Amino acid sequence: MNCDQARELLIDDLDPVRRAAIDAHCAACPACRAERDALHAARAVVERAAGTDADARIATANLRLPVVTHHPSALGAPWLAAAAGIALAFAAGYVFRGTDRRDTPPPSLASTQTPAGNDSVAGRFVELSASPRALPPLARAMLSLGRR
Amino acid sequence: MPADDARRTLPPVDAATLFETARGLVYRWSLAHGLRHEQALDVVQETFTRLLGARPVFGTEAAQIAWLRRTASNLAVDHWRKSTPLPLVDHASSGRADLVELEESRRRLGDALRTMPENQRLALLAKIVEGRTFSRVASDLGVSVPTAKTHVARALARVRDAFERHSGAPA
Repeated sequence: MNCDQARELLIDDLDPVRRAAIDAHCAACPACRAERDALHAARAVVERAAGTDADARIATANLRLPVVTHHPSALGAPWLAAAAGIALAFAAGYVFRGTDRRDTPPPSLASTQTPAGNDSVAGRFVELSASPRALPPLARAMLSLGRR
Repeated sequence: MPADDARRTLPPVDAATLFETARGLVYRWSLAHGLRHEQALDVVQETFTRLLGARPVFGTEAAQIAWLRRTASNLAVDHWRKSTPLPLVDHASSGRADLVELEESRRRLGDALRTMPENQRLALLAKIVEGRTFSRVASDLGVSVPTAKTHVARALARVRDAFERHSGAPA
């Protein structure tokens, strides 16, 4: 057995025959022996920290299974609640989008209004004739009325 | 645990029975992360709280243990990150050299496990703490047996390095 073979087997679950072969190699090879001892030491650290099953049973003897209360959805199933949420979100988006269209004047309109006092339809949209295609349909209709 | 038991198909999880049989194991996994007794008890409680909250369905006993191991290990790492180490100077001044050594050992172990990849950590727990065979470790992690061996070897090397880095000598 050479060093590469020995090191591959150092952490293996070995039968007694192969374990003896590893031990024989390590007895003659200080580097592999050091590697084996270091792995055994690391293993011992973890084993010591984890303790034994018997100790763990005693240490956890007073623990009780936690009580977890489930609150089922009023709609009965999680997927139904999710679907209802998505539908509501779409509905809210539709309503607010419509509100924006009705209440907020387009920037081009707001910026081109003339000073107060001129209440003729044509006079309130002085510069709109320059780009009528950029206007919403209602503004275009008012503009055409003013031109008549 | 025999391999036949690991592959046995289970009915929906009975949390009370599982708590009775596995709470000690969850506690030991937590201690292996360098946690103290009280922290380990917290991890046990939180692990089973998650089990009850998630109500997972396990096909096999192996899957059940693998779920608990992964959940407990991640919780233990979180606890370790959040915990404040005990001031070593207090132990040193009290003349309790054994407590200093214990606390330092926990700190190194916690450091090593916190910084290693999850699969290495889980392989270490399954192999060293539980004493599983490599084929069982591989099956739990969903990897080949040689990969499981590599995970365990690298995890042990990290633990070894953590102790050598601090002390200049193997643990």
